[in-house]
Parts: sequence; C-alpha cells; structure tokens
Amino acid sequence: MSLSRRDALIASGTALAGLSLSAPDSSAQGSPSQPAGNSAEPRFPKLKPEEMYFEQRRVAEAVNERRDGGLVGPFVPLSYAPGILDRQQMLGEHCRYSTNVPPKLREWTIAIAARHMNSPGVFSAHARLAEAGGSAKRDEARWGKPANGIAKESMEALANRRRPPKLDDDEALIYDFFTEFNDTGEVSDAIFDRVEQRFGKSVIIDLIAIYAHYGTLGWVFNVSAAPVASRPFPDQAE
Amino acid sequence: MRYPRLTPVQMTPRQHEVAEEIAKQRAGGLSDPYAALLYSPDVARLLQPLWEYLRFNLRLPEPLRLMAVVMTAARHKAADAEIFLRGDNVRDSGLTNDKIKALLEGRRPTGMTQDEAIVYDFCSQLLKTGRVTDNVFDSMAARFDRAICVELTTLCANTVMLKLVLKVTGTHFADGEPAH
Repeated sequence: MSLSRRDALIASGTALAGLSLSAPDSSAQGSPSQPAGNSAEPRFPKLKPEEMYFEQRRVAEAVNERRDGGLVGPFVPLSYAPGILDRQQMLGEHCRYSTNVPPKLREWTIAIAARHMNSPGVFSAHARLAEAGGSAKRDEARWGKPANGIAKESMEALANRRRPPKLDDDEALIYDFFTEFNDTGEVSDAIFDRVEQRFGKSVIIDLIAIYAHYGTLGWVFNVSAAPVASRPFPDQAE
Repeated sequence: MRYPRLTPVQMTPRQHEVAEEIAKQRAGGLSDPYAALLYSPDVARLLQPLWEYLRFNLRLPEPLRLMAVVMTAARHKAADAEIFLRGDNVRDSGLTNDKIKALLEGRRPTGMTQDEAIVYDFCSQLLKTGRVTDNVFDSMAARFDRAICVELTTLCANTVMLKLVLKVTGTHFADGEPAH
C-alpha cells in the first residue's frame, strides 16, 4: 500500500470507524465505476448489522460472542465471507486454547508464521504473549505459570530474519522445522525425525495447525491494509 | 512412512468419532491427507470443512481458483504443484494447459483474459510480499468484490498450509479424488 494511505489511516485513527456507514460494499455487482478501494476509506469497512445479509450477520454475531476480544482485526475482512470466517475462526479457537502445544511454543510458532508470511500485525499482536510465555488467564489455568517466555532478543532476531542465537532446544527445533519448509518447500527426514522424536506425530499436527491458522490471519490482515500499531520488521519499515 | 494409517484398534474414542464424521462428509471417505491429520483428531475435524469449503464453495470462478492454487503450490518448484493438478478438476476448470505450464514455471502466462490478469497480479504480489498494493486491490475489488478478495487471500494462504501438511505427513490425495 502507499505510504500516504497508511499514514492517513494511522493519523485519523478511530474517526475512520465512523466511515463504515458511507461505505457499504458498493462494488458487489462489480461496477467498475465504483471501485471498492480508494485512499479515503479502509479496504474493509466494519459492516453494520443492517448492512449484512442473514448468514453474514449470524456468523458475525456468533464469532463476536464466542471469541475473546470479539470481531476485530483480521476477523473484520473475514466477515465479508462468512463461510470462511466461521470455519477459520473455529480452527483458531482450537489453536489458541486447546492443542497440546505448550503456550510458549504456541506463541513462538505464531511469531515464526507471522514473520514467514510477512505480517507485522500478527507479529506485534502476539509479541507480548510470546515474551510472557502465554496468557495469565486462560493459559495458566491449564498449564500453570510459565518458567519463562521467548527472549526479547529472539523475537528481534526473528523479526530481522536472523536465526536467533540463544534458543532453547524446543524453540530451535520449531524454528528449524518451519524455516526449512518456508525456505525450500521441503521437510527433510532429518528435521522431521528430530521433531517427531521430541514432540510426537500428534503434536506436529497441532504445530502445523497453529502455523497455518495464524499465517492465514496474517495475510488476511495484510490485505485489509488496516493500520498496525508498530512496525516490527526492519525490512518492511517503509 | 511418517503417518501410517491408523487402524480402528489404534484409535482413541475421539479419533473414532472424528473418523466417522469425516468419512460421512466426504465423497471419497476418510482418505489422505485427512487420514494423517487424524493423529490430532480435532485438527482434522476443523481443517476438513475449511479446506473443502475453499475447494468447492467459493464464488471465485473455477479457472481463477485453480490459477491461484497452482501459483501458490509452485512457489518453490513446479513439481510441488503436480500433486494439486491430478483428477478431473484441471480438465474441467477452463484454465488452458499452456497457461498452467507458464504458471508452473513461474512465468506470467501470455494471452490471459482480463480476469486472469487481475487474479494473477493479486496472487503474484501476495505470494512475494504478503500484501497487495492499492492498485491491485482496487482492480480485484472493482471487478469482483471484497468477499472474493477474502476468498482469494484465504485460498492462497491455506494452499501454502495444505502443501505444508502434504510435505510433513508425506501424503498426497488419493487417485481420482479432487485435489485442493
């Protein structure tokens, strides 16, 4: 996106939310005379209940109710396609709270996915959780207090596309596993065997689901071009 | 074999439930990659409806859907996309062979329709940078609509992830089954 548009969005902040009234999905019929995006409005204005069709409203309300934090961030663009929103968010609910991946490693996986998919929004939104090793409320109820979180230096190295030098064994395994796939498109026997030995076949599937879900949210959030509070990736500082 | 098929006696009660649920919902029954995902049954239960929705229920026209899948799958190398090009979905899609060949080789196909060019530019930017410029977004949203922009974005992202599942589990789609 252009610099001017992003800065305009950041500068006008919450005032933009009010624009949604004037921005229904006017391009639904594909009219070339009314492009959906122009520099004055967000790409995906938050839909008001009276602008939604039945299924869209049903899913939006269900997600708003069941999701901690409600229908915000990447869920706003997803609400334009409720069949996807419903299914993607159900997966997310499981990834966030119910897999057998400990919270610190879950957040590390999310950070790696966000870096690989180039999503500063998802990276920033989860950086604090990663450094804390999980959330105080729901994660501690299941997993107890974390011994430690992801080191700040590790998050910074990741953001800089460098392999963090001081990872513990689990962090290093997960980093190497996803990085090999992202760089080469392959998952060699060498890395698979190490990860399997440490985590087992079932937890590997959980790790993939977490990477998949948050990586997907990253692209959706990016495509929505919503303003993000910080710019953690130096190669995207603009 | 990284993920040998679970036999009924090896399954937990939860795996049994999910295996039956998926077998009922899919024309091809419980086959790979979902049989492999069953090692974590709730992930299998949640990914199956999402991925099959992206395969069968999009409003994005089929040749354009296939185009996005091929571009995404071939991102590292052409051979990775072959697994997505089996079954009858390719022949019936309307995407011509010479265009598929160009996409596999990472080239911009010649003679694209206007719609194909719009989708090509969108996917091409998304795959390279993880985002799309105002011009490309506006073209896509003007020709189709915002909902289809979301469809295309989630389709590309989930194709990255489906490829990850296939590579990790060492599985592929059963013969004759519609690929992603």
